[in-house]
Amino acid sequence: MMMTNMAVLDKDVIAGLKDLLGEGFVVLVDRFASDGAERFERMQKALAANDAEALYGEAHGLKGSCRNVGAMMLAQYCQDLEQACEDEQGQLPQHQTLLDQANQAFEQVNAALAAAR
Amino acid sequence: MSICTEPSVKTVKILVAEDSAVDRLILEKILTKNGYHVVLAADGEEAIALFKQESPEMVFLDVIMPRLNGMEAAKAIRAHSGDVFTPIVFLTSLVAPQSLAACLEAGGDDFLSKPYNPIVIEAKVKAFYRMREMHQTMQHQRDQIERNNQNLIQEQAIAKQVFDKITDAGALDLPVIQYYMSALAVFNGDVLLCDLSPSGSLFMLLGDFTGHGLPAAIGSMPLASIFHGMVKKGFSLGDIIRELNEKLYHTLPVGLFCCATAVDLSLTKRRALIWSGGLPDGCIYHAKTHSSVPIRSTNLPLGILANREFDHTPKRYDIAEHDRIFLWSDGILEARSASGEMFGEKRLQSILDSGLPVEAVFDSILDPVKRHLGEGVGDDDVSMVSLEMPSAEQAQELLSRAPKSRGSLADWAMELKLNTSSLKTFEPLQLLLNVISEVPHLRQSSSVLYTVMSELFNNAVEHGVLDLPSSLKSSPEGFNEYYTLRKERLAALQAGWVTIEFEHALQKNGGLLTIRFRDSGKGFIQNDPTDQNATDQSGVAIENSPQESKMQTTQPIKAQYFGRGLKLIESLCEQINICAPGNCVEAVFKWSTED
Repeated sequence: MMMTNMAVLDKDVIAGLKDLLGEGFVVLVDRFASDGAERFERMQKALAANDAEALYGEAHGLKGSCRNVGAMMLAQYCQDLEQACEDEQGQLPQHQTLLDQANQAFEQVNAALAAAR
Repeated sequence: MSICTEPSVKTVKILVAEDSAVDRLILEKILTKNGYHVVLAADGEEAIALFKQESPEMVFLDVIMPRLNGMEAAKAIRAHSGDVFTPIVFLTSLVAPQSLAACLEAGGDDFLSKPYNPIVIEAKVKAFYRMREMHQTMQHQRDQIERNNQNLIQEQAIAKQVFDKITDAGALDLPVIQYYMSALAVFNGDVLLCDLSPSGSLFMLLGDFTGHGLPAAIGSMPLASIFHGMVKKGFSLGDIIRELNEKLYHTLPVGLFCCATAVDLSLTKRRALIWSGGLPDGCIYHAKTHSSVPIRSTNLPLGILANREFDHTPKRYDIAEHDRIFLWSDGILEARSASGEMFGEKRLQSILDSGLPVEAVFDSILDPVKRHLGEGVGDDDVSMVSLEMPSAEQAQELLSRAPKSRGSLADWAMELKLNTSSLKTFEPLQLLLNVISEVPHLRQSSSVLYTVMSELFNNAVEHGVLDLPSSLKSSPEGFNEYYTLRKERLAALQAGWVTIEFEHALQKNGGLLTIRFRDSGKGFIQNDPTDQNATDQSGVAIENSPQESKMQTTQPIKAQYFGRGLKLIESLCEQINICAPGNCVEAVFKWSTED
């Protein structure tokens, strides 16, 4: 994976969001954390159950949010997960590492967002 | 300053359906910041429920949502909004072109990629709002056109009912008539009218108004109602034609007129009176000789000339039993085949010249015309009619159907008495003329009768009631004095009257109208010696009127009265009677239906 040199959060996007949301930025940070946590829970289940459609939907949804908050690295992990789902012969459980990496990146984003508020 | 105006855009309600709480929050903020009212849903089913409940003007749908995805929700929303255009924009982080195309195919109008860009979003909302407004305007106009069209059809149906009732052809079901009429449009610009007259004639009129359809047909209404009304009352063909021309001249716009041929076929006299203006030549087809005589149009169509320039005199044609009168509109001659060729006068004439038995002529013309037209649409209404002179026996049968009593004044009498105040203010001649005009055949003499009555009325007022001597009028100065005196005496008049009596009696083939003027004056027989030197030897009878017991027959009386300008009246009337002592004069006017 070539993501090490990608910033966790895009500072300009964060500045724009703060400007747009004002005090609501706090809410955004909380929602990102809670929404994301739920998605990772569901993604873990889908991966274990080899449910490609479910995993794809969750990864896709999270990817959109990541782009909106400027979390481009996490967005890339989500897209990799989507691609894994599109591999028809693929067995999802073998992508457990990818999901773990994504989860790790998610925690980094949360920390960065919390720091930005 | 912004160049484009954004009127009520700010009150627009937008539904946002998005399962990601973060994205939902961001889009909501972007939209509310721009002043839009936002309704939020977290999945497809909620989106549909909120759409039904809130009727938003625009919808943003995430493509991938739990419960019901965006594409399915879009279909449901489209179905529910029916005629109203609701822009649907898909929210997506898809990038593959096929995926984006699929969004639009599923009923989306556009898509919006993540991350959201506030400027792009605002621009799209405005664009879609304009599109929606335009769509509504268009739909409103479409509905308006639809309503107008419905009204038009409804109005046309009602107008057609009234039109058909008024232009009802009348007696077209008579066995002596055969006709064909085919209209190019709902309304026929050709009109065929037929009616029996109490005078023992069958009247028929074939008219062709310029153009076709409603504008052409509208003139048929006054035409038909005048025709039927006057024929039933027994008016002559000339009178009817004159009245039709007058009416059409005054009511039709310039450029719209009626080519017509009118026939008065006498069932008793074996003759037809025909007036023709502007229609192609018809013909009389003789049953014995199997040959035709043309009926030439010698007049301008109805509605072009004012009556003073208009000749309403019909031509007289002798016609024998079973001879037929044929009339057609130019739609027959100008019937075009599919290749555009006209039927033409030559073809028609060669049929008429081929010595056919009379009863075969009608179909021998119509069938080739129809064959010629074939599938061609034609560009005018097509009409043809034949009218047969019936045998004596058939004529009797027809006559029994003719209206018995005249729907007009027949035998009648009337008296009008003008007392002092009326004499000062009222001019009775027009009123009297209107009464007289109710008698068919007297109408055409109304100018003569006007002259007669005007002379008699002035005599009664001036020489009778006001006692003005006619000798005064022998010099120009006297004339002046006469009219000054007339004015003064009329103004000062305390008591005086004039009675006007009409007696009208029908006679064989005509009638007799007696007009009697009586005044409150003392007469002139002993009291006006100045007039005695006037001489005139014409045969005016001076005798007892039924009401007068005394009579005077001396020469001076006649002479005196002629001094009062009765020469004119005498020349116009059948007879003039003066009753002693000279305050009662009657003129007898005779009319005849003989041609």
